[in-house]
Amino acid sequence: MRRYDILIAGIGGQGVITLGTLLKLAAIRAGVEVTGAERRGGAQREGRVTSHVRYRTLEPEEAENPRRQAFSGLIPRGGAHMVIALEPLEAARSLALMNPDTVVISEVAPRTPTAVRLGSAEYPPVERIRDWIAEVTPRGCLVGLEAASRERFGSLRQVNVIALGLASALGQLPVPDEALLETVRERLPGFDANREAFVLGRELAGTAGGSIVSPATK
Amino acid sequence: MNPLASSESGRAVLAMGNEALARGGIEAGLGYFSTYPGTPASEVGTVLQGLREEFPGLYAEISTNEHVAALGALGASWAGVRSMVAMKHVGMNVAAEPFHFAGYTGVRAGMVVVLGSDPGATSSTGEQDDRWYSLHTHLPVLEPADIQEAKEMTRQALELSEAYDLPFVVNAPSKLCHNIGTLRLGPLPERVTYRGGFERNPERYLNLFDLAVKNHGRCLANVERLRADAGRLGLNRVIPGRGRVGIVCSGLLFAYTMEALEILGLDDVPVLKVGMSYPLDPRLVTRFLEGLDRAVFVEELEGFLEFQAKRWAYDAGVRVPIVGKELFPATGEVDVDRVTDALAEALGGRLPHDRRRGSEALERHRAEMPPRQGAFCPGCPHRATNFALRRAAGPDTVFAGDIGCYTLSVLPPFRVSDWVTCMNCGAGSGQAIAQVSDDPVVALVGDSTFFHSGVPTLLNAVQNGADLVLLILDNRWVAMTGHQPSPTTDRLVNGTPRKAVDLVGFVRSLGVEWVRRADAFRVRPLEVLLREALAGSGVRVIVVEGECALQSERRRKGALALQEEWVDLDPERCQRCHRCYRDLACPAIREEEGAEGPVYVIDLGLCQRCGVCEEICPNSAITRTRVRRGRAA
Repeated sequence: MRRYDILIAGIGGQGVITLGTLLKLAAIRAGVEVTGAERRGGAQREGRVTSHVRYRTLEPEEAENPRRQAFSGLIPRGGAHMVIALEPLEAARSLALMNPDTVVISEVAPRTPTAVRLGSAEYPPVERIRDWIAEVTPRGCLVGLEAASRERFGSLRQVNVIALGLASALGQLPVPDEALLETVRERLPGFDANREAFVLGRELAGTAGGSIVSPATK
Repeated sequence: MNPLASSESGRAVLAMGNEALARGGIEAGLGYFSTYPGTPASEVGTVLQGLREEFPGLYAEISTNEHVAALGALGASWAGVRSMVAMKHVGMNVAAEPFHFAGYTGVRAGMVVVLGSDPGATSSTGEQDDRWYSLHTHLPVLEPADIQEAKEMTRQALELSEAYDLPFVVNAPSKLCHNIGTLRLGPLPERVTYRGGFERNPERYLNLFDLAVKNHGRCLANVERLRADAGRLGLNRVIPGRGRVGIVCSGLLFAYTMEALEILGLDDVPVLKVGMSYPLDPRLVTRFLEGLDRAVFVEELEGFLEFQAKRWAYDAGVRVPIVGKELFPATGEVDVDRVTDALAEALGGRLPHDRRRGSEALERHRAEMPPRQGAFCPGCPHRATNFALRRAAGPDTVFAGDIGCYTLSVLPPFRVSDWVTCMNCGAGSGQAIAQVSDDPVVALVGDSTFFHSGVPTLLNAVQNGADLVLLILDNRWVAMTGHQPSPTTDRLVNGTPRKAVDLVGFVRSLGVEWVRRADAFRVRPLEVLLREALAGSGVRVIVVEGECALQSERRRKGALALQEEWVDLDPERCQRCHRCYRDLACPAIREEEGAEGPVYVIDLGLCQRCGVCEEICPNSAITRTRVRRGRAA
């Protein structure tokens, strides 16, 4: 069996669910079997939201093996091939799913939790978060996705598609870029900007190996 | 067209567990659907209401509460129309009375009850395991292991329900309801009965005296008939293996078990996958157990299978050592990692070290990661109401919160809910606290919860002269579960008008003399009104109006209209009193590093222009500006 497991993490309102849906719809388009559980934050904002995206391809001899039929929606501990985090603290909270081969793509700009806002907790410096990830995998990068989107497109609307571009460049996604882009075209408004965002993501990937790509903005 | 309506059998579509449950109903010729929305099962209703476009005969309603929804599904079945009712696990408590008679009367057309359970209580106030209800309701329980089975079992449940004259339950935990993945569609039925007719059947439907006793007997006989046939229904399955230790499991935990065995490299362990956990097939279970040296029951919560299996093993004289609850705690969700750890302990085998590096790192640094709690959305009317309430209330005020988005009122900075248990828990217990103490009690209730179960309580408070302030937080939608219309929804998102209940008139008609209407976003007048209410006596009701910000945003179609209005925070005027940043805690107000230290800024991308921060700023540092189109350039 070939698997490819991606965890997407972030907070309510950032588009975690949308990003997961894009990656899954692309699999349907490409004829790859997919599943994955979502943790939804309710209708409210600010809570942690995750989407598990699990691709698999059964070998022909496994097709009738009853031990390989059920397809669970949860990535097991240490099982993620890739983690996409739309917020650095949520990348850190996803450490348990990482292993030494995991590709980690994380937004670098923090979103302040209420506890920090109220002064009852401190937000760790992003350099520390980078180091925690490096304790598990050398393939982590913190990228200014929001800064890049704001700079090029004047809003945060392209953040998720930039992340998709990075994912396509840094990982071995079992779905081809064409399937991803066709899905983006079908599901999101403004395809020209999104295609540009995807390319931008791929370009950022070239400079992203294991480092903080853009300065941390608070 | 919605892919879930497709007639293309074998087509792979992307579906959520809840959508697969709905499609299972469609494939079985569902004609009637009712629900009270509750996470994790809410989308079953969303999907089926949407599918009325493709299947115009399909009836699908959002009912007032689960009790009404359950009786509705039973009625449709008596009229010869296949029915489904969906609710979250705790909805079963509200619907428990009708469900205890549904086995007595039996069904005419098939009826299925979809129960969304929530081990780990990630979106609920409890993690009760509704399967235990079936020991006294006698409704058979099916447990799908993944999305595909969610569809197949729902379809099968409707067919079996008719064959065995019992409503069937399909149990779907949140991790299945919210699992999204590949679903292979089956064929659509050639004919569906959307219109039926009631046929009188007094022997079965009139449960009085000796008839009730007789029907109780018939219900039990139907269960035994199903139990005896279980072996040939194909719902339970043994996955053979040569190992001497075997595993018994059901539902999602089957999928976790198989993956855990794969991770641990244990490909020889026999597994009994139970698809129908009530009635449990005694022959299958005892035969599986007697071939083993030891059996491991992989189960979460209180161990429904282990409890039943031990009884049948005892009767059959099978004395295999059984471990279950020793390995798996009776509380909290069991995920694939907990199954892996427990099986490693019980069967031997080890998680490869590389797979543990991440969790070890998390343990090392977890303490440095600040928690992230949910918060009201920017522009939420509840934030504004809470702010006003916090200021108007005294130190001795008792806050009787309830179930809905406003349950978040329990959290800082507001803390205006002192308990949360079930629907209507606020006013329900609050009125009694007021009767036996001098504590001023303020109860909060949303519009949907009020109509779900709050009305009898308000009437009770009036009739018995309680001293109670009740705030009905009318945000016009059942917001928390995904914006189903509520009785006060007067306009759909696309602008279509809808007949709404006149809440103030309704409350007055119950005998409440002091009723006021207030705008949630005008926090100063609201605060004044709250002070007046708190100074009074008897039942005082304030209907606090303010539409859910997410719905208003959708109606505006995103941010376009917002671009005509600006909100600015002037750092020169700002005294950093924190009233907006900490006391109101709007996520659209952020702290940034300025040239001379930290400053507050308004994120116009998040800001909904509700105006509350402007109104509360004591230094007039926040201003709203309207830009008229044409002049802006």
